[in-house]
Amino acid sequence: MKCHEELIARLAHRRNAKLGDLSKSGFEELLRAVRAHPNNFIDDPRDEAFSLVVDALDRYERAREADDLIEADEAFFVARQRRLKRLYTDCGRALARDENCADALLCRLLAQDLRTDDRVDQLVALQHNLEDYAQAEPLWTAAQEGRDAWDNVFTHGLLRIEAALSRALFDTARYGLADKACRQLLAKAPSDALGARHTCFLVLARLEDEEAFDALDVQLGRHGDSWSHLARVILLYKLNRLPAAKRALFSYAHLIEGGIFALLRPVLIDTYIPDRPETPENSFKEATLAVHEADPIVVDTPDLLSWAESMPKIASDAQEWAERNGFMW
Amino acid sequence: MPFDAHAEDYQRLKLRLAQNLVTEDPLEVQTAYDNFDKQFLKSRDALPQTDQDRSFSLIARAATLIDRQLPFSEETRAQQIIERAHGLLAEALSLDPDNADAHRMIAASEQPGFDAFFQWLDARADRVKEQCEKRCIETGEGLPKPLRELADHLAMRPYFRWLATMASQALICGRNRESLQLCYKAMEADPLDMGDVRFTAVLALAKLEDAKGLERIKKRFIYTPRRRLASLVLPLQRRSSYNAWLSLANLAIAYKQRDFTSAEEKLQRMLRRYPHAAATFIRQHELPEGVFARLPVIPKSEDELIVALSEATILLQEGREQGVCGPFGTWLAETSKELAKPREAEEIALAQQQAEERFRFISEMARKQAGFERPDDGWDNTGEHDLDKNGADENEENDGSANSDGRSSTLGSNASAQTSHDISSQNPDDVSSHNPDTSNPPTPEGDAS
Repeated sequence: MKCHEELIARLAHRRNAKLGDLSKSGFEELLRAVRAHPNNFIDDPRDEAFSLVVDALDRYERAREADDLIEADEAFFVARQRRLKRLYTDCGRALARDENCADALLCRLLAQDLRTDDRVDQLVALQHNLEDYAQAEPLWTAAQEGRDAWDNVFTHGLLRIEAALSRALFDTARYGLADKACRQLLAKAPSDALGARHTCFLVLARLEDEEAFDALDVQLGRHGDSWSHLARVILLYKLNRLPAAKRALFSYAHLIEGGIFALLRPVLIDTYIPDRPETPENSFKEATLAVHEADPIVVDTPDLLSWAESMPKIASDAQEWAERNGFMW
Repeated sequence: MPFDAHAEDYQRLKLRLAQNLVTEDPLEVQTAYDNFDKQFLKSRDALPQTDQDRSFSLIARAATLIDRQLPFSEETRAQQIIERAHGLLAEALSLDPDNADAHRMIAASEQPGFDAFFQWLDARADRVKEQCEKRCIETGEGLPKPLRELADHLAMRPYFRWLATMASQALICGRNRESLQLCYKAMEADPLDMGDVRFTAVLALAKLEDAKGLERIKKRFIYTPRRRLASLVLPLQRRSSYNAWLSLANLAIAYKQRDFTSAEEKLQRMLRRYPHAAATFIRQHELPEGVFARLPVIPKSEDELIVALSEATILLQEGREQGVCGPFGTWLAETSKELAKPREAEEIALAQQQAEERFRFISEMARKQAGFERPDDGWDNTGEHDLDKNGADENEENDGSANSDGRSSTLGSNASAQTSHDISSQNPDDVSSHNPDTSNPPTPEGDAS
């Protein structure tokens, strides 16, 4: 989440609405002014609340980076709990300014580190509770019919709730519902800044729905990434089309930097707060996220990893890549 | 009745007797069959038989050792059982090198993983089919039509079991569509569905979240050729399709659709129908698969639920959850506890304690196997441990802890009782009246729930 950029865009759009729709160049001028001194433009409790969320997330990220340096596991998990608790409290402060701040509500919910089933329940409830409020908030509903919902910065919080819900549904093995949630999100915001397509590819692989998988791939212009390449390997392996699965594995290995190392040596990734971190395309970091998200369906195909490892040069190339890039094999 | 090695051994020898009978005098035929039952129980090996029959008898004995004794034995005894069973299987192959059951049972322990076993089975399926079909021609020679049908069915059963094992392995491998296709292939090959592959099929459909497919297959639980005769003699209210696998599949679909009203209703029904169901749902034991075939269980019994729930592990543990149970497994255990009757409080508390002990044991094993240290990869390595379930799964595979609470021993004793009952109570008229299996369905109690 580019929270600072979003704060600036929100402030500029709200001021623009107050001023009565500036010209394009006028708006750009306003945007520059907001970027230079954002605090000078915070005069609405809703933006004040969002600004507090931005501060809370900055603090959370800094703490997370510091926690990564902790050696002992127990101390690490204690620090993690402390960090989440602080985020929860900070979101509470934001909600004191605006009780309907979608991002504060979402981050507070995720900071509770709930069991996945409870997370789904609460996200569904949150989405339901905000529906009425969204209808009454002119800047939330400003997106024109047929326009990409992501174009309206005031809808981002709601869309993030939907994306978090789709991932939580996936995590509770409710693949049909996760697919539905992803499709809704893709229909509302085809630009898909929140990566609903990634979850969707994994869902379709798990449901072994090759037709829908290919249709989605075509719809997205066959723009492959860590999720779609990995999902294709899983799909074909599940369909017992092993020669095709092997080719897909080699494509994944070839196109995704360190992808096989990420797959064979998965690392621990924390719950996304509030959404999936941004990563360079086809990078090792992207692959670690894809592998983390795919974990429940990889575990569901218990011999997939040993099959992948047994393919010629797969393990040796991954080991070589790891050694070249300073990772332990 | 599902596949039962000892019952099948009995049928094979009785068929052999029918083939060897030279008299047509009804009194002499009756006496021969009366004597056969006594002889079978006292000195089976003295009865007329071929090397193939002897070979089959050895795998029946090996199946008893592996499926009934091994899971509940101490470690030192376990090794002896394994060696003895393997000795029997090797002997079976020396008598009948084409004994598909023996090959399959040996491969089950020798192949290095689920997928390896599946591929091994897949590569040999056509050859096994050919062998079985060839035996149909050989064994049925000179028999009247109804007995010939039984002989044909007996000759084809190793192939039916082969397909059933493939379907089950495909499901465990996460190949749900492949599993479903194999189930349909098996049901087409054997319309009696002796292997009960439709139980595997409903789990595959639940995995694919195919509610419509589940609804379509339901009729196979009501109207199967095996049930047809039974249904004629059953009161209408007992012609239900109720079955633990089907109920669990429907329950899983309702949970997956977040239809909690329906899910709770379905769970309530199961709690009412199966004895000690709440405790079973809390324990969620995984049992090793039957090496010969799915363990025969009495419908509507606690054992049926235990076996079905064990096979449904792929549904229970799926998803991301911190613990051994997945989200559905957790919901099932917790909701069962809430819905259980107050008089079950004691057994619920015991089951919960056992489940917690198992969770601690598995977590500890997983930590040891996967290494709990966060890897030093320098990026984002925080939070929940994805490998917990991997480790747990592997551990479960060789757990052998099913007897820690006495629950499985209930299963073992019941199942054994069922087996001995099948052999000793088998009506000699089955053969003497020239009624093959196909026209002689299981007892109404055994097929109607």
